[in-house]
Amino acid sequence: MEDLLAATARLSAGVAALLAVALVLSVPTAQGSGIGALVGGVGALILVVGLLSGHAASVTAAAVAFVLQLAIISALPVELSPPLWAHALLIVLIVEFATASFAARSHPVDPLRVVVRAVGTAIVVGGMVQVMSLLLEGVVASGVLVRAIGLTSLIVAGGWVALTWRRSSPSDVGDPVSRG
Amino acid sequence: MTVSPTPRLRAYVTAGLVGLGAALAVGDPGPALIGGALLALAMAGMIGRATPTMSVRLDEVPLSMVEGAEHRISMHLATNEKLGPVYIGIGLRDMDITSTEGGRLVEDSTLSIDRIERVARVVVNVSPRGWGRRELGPVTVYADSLLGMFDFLHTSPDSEQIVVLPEESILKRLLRPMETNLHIGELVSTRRGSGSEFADLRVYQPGDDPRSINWRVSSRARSLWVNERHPERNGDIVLLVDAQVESGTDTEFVVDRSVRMAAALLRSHARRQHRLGLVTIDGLCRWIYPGMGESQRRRTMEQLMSVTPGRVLWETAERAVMRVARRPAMVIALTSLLDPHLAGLVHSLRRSGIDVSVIEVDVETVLSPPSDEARSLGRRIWSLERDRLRDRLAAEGIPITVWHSDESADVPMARLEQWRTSWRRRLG
Repeated sequence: MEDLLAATARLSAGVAALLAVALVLSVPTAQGSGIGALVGGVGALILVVGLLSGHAASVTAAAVAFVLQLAIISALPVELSPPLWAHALLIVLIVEFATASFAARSHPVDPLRVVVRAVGTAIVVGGMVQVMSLLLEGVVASGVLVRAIGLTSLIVAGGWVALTWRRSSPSDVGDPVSRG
Repeated sequence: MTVSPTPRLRAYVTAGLVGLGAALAVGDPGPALIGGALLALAMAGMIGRATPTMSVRLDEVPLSMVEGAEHRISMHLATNEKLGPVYIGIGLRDMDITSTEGGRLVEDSTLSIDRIERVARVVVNVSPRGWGRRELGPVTVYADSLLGMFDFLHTSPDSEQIVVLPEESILKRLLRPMETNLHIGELVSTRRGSGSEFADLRVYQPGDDPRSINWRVSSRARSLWVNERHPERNGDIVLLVDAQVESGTDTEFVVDRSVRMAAALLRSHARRQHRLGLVTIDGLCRWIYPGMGESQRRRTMEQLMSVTPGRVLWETAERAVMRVARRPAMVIALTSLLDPHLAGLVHSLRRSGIDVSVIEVDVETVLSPPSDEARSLGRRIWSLERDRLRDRLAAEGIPITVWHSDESADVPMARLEQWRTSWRRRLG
């Protein structure tokens, strides 16, 4: 049984690492977008090192790197590859499998549940991004007002998350997942 | 209950906020869409979270277990909402889970329940390995929220102490104490009194029970004669368990054998209604005066199971032994005779007129073979010294036998009984 758990942790880590490499390799490198690929590559490297050494924070670092990679590429006049929805789908799959790998190191996890949750969440997020991009197609988001609204919503979202997060931990015993 | 955000939540929230910020920086909605979707996912996980309350308690835990036998432990779990899957770490040490009810075994001592509908009852059947005192618990219950953004961890504060007894073994042969005490038992006393074993005939005296008149002899003798009988009494048995170990050798095996033999002796003598006492000569050196009954049996077993091999304070040990081992008790010493102090103690008991026998647990088989000639010579001298010690004890009329590792527990008992019988015959 312990072999199965170790296998689940290793398999999840392997899938996450493979998807991260695939995401980095699939982005364009022309007209300066190689910088985006470089940022994504660093993220993938951090993820692989984190998975090997057992640092759960590497998942956050990798997710941030992939979002920054997308931001850099979308700022340049190159065709976005993979499409936005696939980008979102891959980021979610990477986060889900990598966190499942860390979870499997500290307590038992059901491999089937890991796959179902990862795929389900990725499809929902990918679909949400695709629907929103279709709705916002042609909309030009520029100007001081848009930026002010964006910045305000960013601060509000950040504050709300911080508040909820703080309330969620009534006792500080430690994170059972990241302990592994 | 501890609620902790998972790395998943941290990743989604951070990446989402970075996406929104990056979209503002580069003026493109792409990163904002991904960031927004990730934040929406994280928020859904946060909104959908309700901190459950959980309680877990061990319902049915046996006071003592027997090594290798199957025992039942049950737990009661209660939550204020539906949860699933839930993982329960029972914290079993040196026990194998043989079967479960109400949960699935996923690790050595971890069970999983697919779903808890407010109340759940889990039963695990366990089989302990080895003897000794064990701690059961604390029980840890782990679950996560619907979208996996939070971990819920609950640890029951209490744990249970269990005594695991060695495998049940009853000795077929037991030593018969030379003297009996006043309690009714199954040993035929040398004294005269009311009993079933015929002893002698004597002339009737006023006050004798008319039922004891032997009418056949009385009719021949033309005067009244009565039967005298031996009463059935029990004996006091005191076990001396020497649990010293020499560092650097595998003498824990010897202690294990001594404890197993002592447990078998306690069980077997308890069946014969004898009063049982115990002195464990170990790092703590504790004693129990001879007594009868279930509570006495449990006390002696518990003390035996918590034997702590270590350095012995011989002054304390001697005082303990002299207090407990008093006539008419029969003392059985279980020792490896590694320390000559014990031989001295046995010698003192014998001089006090106490019926004492020694079962020497063989240590030579657990010692590594000598590596060179000098060590070989040292080993021979050591063996000769041990032989001399045995001979000295035997010469003082103390029955002593070596219990070899390939022999059953009945073999040394048979040898000792034979020794005692021949010694009695020699003394006439």
